[in-house]
Amino acid sequence: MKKKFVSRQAMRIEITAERAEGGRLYDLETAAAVSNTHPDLIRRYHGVGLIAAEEREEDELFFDDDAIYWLRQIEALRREGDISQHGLRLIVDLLQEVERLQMELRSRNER
Amino acid sequence: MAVQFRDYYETLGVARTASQDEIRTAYRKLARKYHPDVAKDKAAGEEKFKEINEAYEVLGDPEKRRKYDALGANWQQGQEFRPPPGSTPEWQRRRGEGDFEFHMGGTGFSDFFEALFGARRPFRRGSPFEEPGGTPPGSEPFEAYGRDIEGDIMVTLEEALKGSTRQISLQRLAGQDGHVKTESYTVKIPAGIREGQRIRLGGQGEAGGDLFLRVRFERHPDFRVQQSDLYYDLELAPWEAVLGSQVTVPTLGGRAKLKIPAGTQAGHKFRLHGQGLPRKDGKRGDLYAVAKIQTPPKVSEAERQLWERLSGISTFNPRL
Repeated sequence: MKKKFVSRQAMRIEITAERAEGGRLYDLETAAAVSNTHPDLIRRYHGVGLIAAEEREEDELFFDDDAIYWLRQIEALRREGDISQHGLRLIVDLLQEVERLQMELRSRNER
Repeated sequence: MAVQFRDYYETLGVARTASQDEIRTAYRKLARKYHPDVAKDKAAGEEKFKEINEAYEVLGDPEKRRKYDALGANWQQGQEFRPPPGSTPEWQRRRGEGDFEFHMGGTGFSDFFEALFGARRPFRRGSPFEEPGGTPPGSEPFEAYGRDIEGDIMVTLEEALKGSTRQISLQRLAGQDGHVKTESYTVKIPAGIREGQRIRLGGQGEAGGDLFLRVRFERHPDFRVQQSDLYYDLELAPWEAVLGSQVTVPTLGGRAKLKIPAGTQAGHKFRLHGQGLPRKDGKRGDLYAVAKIQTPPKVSEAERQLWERLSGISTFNPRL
């Protein structure tokens, strides 16, 4: 697994792995730092299916840029909107479903 | 920030009342003519192809078309256009904290498109969730970890296949004096990127937030994308489908020969293994050529006689 360090101090980004195709991945600790979310909370979000992750080794989770985006969204909703765990799940499920349907619609328009 | 108005109807050569089908047909005809792979003047072709794609990106999407049409019919191509404040994602302002505007470049879209449909904040204070009294007690203010900005970046299928490096710019207009700050970023588009996937530029949002670029695949005149597979409409003459033939089909960056067996049915999918986009497992998806049987719009007298003869002796009834 490729390890690459990029300016932890300034941007708090540590690229910990790269996919064979499709971009970079962050380990749990880095994902927690860049999304301002506690690692236990990220594990919980992953456990209930809110956040996608790749499991590379035993229990080791890796997150892509999309997962970081959703973690930051969830954190903003949780802190700013004071949304409950149940509400968060509902909102994120709906937002992700809207994105999926928009892409499906875009693809259907092509036929 | 004024931009030049783009008349997307003029770009595609269609009336403002054109149906979605007419728009799609006009787009495909022009896109095939100006696609960088076939255009005689590559540089001019590429520019024209981008304009056509952007016009179709808006007019081919009923929601974007509705928003574009709402601007009214009196705008002329190239006319100076200033989006009405508050009506577009670009002109997002924070009241009481000084104005803040941003505008993205190098995303594959024109300034006009960016002004109408460009960068936005995914979630921010001032939303219906905000408490009237400010930040609720016990929680950190949002500024502590910045505000994210999200925009779209147009990526070609060739870039998704091979990966690329792009230069984008983010223009920030801060303060009442109209001070503009432009920042440039090099963005790596990794091979195998999927539509809808985001690329994160950490710390490049607002006040230390992140900048997320959401990938939009540039529409291709020949291929439709489904996951990592590509679909191509293979137009066949009736006799090619009935008797069988050999045809050449485009692939991403090349061509392939395809044997059409006798008795091919409309809708049949011919799979060209490994000619799609990269998959997560490192392999490539497939390209499917979908048989579409076309009939000649006009026939000569001799042809008509042959069809009549065929009609007389054939026992085939497609409705049975």
